Amino acid sequence: MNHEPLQSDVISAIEACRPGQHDERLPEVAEALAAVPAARLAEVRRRVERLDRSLAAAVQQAPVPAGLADRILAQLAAADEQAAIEQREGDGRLAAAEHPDEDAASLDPEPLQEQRSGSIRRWLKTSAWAGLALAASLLIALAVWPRETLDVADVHARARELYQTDDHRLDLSAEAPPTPLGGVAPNSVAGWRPIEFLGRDGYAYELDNRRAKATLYVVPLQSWFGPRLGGLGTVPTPQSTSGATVAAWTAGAQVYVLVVNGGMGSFSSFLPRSMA
Amino acid sequence: MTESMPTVEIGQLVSDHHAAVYRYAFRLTGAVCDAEDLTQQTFLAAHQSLNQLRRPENARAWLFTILRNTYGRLGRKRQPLSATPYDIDLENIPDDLPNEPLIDPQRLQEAIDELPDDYKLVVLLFYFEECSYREIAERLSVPPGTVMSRLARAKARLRTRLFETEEAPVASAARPD
Repeated sequence: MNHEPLQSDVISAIEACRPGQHDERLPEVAEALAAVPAARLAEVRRRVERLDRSLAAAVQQAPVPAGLADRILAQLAAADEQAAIEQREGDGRLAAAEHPDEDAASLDPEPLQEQRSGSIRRWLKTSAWAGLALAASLLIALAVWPRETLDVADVHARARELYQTDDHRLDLSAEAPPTPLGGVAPNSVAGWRPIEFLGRDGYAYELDNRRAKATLYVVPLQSWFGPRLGGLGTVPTPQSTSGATVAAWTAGAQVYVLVVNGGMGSFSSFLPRSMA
Repeated sequence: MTESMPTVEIGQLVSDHHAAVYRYAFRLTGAVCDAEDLTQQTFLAAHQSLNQLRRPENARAWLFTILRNTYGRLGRKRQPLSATPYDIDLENIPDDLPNEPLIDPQRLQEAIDELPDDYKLVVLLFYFEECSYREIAERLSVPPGTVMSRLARAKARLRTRLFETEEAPVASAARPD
């Protein structure tokens, strides 16, 4: 059925309403909607609300960088510490000016900043004790927990398997890789996404240097629950099979596994000469 | 008699809300680094004014307000939205639009990034904070009619960017100027 187009004030009123909040009863909305037949209005609103629900869910999703909470807490603690230092210095200068005969260093300035920073310190202290208790429990559990050990060949095989089954989807942003790249040229990174690999949370970087495409998997070397990794060197030792070249190596606290769609030449194009 | 204020630990706030604050910041800034900076600044500001949080159950909304204010101080883009007032016909929204997991996250962020800040804030208050248009008007101190107009335009723009295809724009029926 063809209808007259809805007027802009009607569209605004429909768009502004939230399901279940009775916005439509508000005067400015009710007035705009009064002229629209109920059945037509119900149908349009049903579609708009359905779309709004999907969009709201999508808007509220975004991957959160690993370790963000720890970095925020560290920054807050550093800010507290800096403020405390400045407060002590300021009080010291004030005291020295007011009591020139006294040794300013011997004064005990009122710990105003200590009061301000008390809550975060208490929380950190509590968290530290809780963390220690948890760590002790984990250590005991892990000591008796049998874990698989993977060697280089196993890591290569798992990387190949992941590479072949991976949809190589890119996540929201292609900028600011969240981890170091283990020597791989950053300008070849086309995008990244969080992944789970070798029982660890990490990142997959999709690489494209115009000569070849590749995926770099980066996960932490140490893991409480994932399999142990043995025999990984600090220099990549590539292996080529079935048109793909794979190498795994460690740098810092990370494991890097590079899977290149091509032979040794293509593989080398992603690494500096010193590593390739 | 003095009423005792409930105490809120900043560490608990970080633990409970850092992910939501970061996601909101990411939607506003569109970049991982900027979002993390904005998140850190938000919690720093929250820490410095923690005594202003009187009702712990409102912590999330309080943090979002700090986030929006902090973002506003960073410099906002105020370019107008395009001349076409409504480039979507509500009755032509297909019934088989993709569900949320199929909404391309990169395209969604690009569409949000393209919105001027006045529109972006209204859309995020609507979709992220789930505010009514009246609440949005109060929080942004703008008339409800302005919010309704911005919301309709911004939502139309998002839908057009998200669901149009090269051959046939979905749910898009631009009216002649």
